[in-house]
Amino acid sequence: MNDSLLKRHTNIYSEQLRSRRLWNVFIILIFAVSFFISSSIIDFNLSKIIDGFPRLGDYIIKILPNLDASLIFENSKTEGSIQYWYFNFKKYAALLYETINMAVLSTLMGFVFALLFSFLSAKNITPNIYSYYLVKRFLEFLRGVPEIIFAILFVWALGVGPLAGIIAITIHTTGALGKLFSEVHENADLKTCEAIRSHGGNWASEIRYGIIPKVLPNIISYTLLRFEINIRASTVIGFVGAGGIGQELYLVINFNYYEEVSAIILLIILTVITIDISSGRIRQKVIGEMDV
Amino acid sequence: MASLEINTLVKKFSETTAIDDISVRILDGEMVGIIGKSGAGKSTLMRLINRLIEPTSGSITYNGIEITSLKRKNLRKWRSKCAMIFQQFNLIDRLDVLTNVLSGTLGINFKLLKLLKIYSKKEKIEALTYLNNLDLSDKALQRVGTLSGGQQQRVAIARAMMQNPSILLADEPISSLDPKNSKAVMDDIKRLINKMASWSYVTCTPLK
Repeated sequence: MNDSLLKRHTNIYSEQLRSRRLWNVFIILIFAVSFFISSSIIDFNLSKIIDGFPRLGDYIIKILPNLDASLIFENSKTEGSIQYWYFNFKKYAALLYETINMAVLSTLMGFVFALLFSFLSAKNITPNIYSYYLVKRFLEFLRGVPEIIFAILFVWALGVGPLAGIIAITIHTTGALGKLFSEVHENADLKTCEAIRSHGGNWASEIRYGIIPKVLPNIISYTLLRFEINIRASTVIGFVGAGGIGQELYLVINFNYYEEVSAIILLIILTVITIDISSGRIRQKVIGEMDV
Repeated sequence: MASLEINTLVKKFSETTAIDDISVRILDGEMVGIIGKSGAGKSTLMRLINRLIEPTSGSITYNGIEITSLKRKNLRKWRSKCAMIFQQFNLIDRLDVLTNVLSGTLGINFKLLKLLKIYSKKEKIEALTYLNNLDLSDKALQRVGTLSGGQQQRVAIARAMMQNPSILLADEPISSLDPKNSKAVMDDIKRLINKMASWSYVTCTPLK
């Protein structure tokens, strides 16, 4: 009896193992085929990259500042000093401040809209299936259109300046965060929600007490990540006239003011690093301690 | 006399029949225990009474009112009348004990301010009184997630009492607790149902 049971089990197990392995091979094959197809479509070849790389190096060497170690701390009139390299620092700082403000505002507004829409577009908590499909498609539209397209549109409608950029990034942030938030809700354990419902609580109470306390750490984490992304986005969006440091960067690239290019890029990198470090700290603090 | 009547109740989950033609009458003041193997449908019956799930057929009436056809406001009113205690407590882990207890009033007296955790003074005093009766008043501002299992179940009992219920449904309330805590929680449940003006108590326990 035991022997036949064991044999049957071994057979079932090896059969399952075989089909799982076949599946794995199949999936790897699909990946390989799609890689070759797409690389042939976009004309991806190594020799092109190898040929092009030195040119990339040329540009980087061109934009590097001409610093002299013995003169590095001299005033802004002396060529070779940091102050000479950053002669326009005040202007950059003001523009960078504008860019950061654009990112802060659009992240905050995008967060609020995304949170509101996410409750309607999460399958497990949506009040009805129509709003679920409607809001889900709407969010797809918001994030499907690249923010630079929205920026061009709003620059055309509202004129050059940060307002166009803020609206463009807010729209994209709403779409992107809305999707992430609704997925967080869909993964949440609904036990507490059920308890609130069993007391006679309405939909808003279920969301407030059953969902929000559970999902808030993840939501904050995604929002901080989005803030970092939005810093970069508000820089790039400046290229089309939507304000901030990007607009200036576009200008100096076009006029071939090489040293200014590196000065601005270095500032942007330092800003992103600072925000990355501080948002990591905030995230840890919030997840551990916050009462919601 | 007030009574909860269940008539030829059936609940099917696709192929599985969880509740198969059950009829029972529970009178006011009665305490009923449901015993069965795991998977026998004890929890399903509790959830059907509270209307967390819909029956396939049959009826549930309370004082002559058909429960299975209640909608929206009336349904929420019914749910707030029959409090539930769960095996896994189902509390809001990240919130303090007091807010958890106060959340029991969301059904009987909903106000928008309650979504901002603002409750009336009267409700707060009531909640603290229940917590005090359960020896938990010193934990009122502590996060629920930091309490022991027995303490958490007592918070759930206090939350149920805030509903001022007519029926108390306890779904394996002590099965995840150790013997000492089990006894304490059962004593608390008994003590509190004696204070209910009119009540029926239904509990289910696995067959061991």
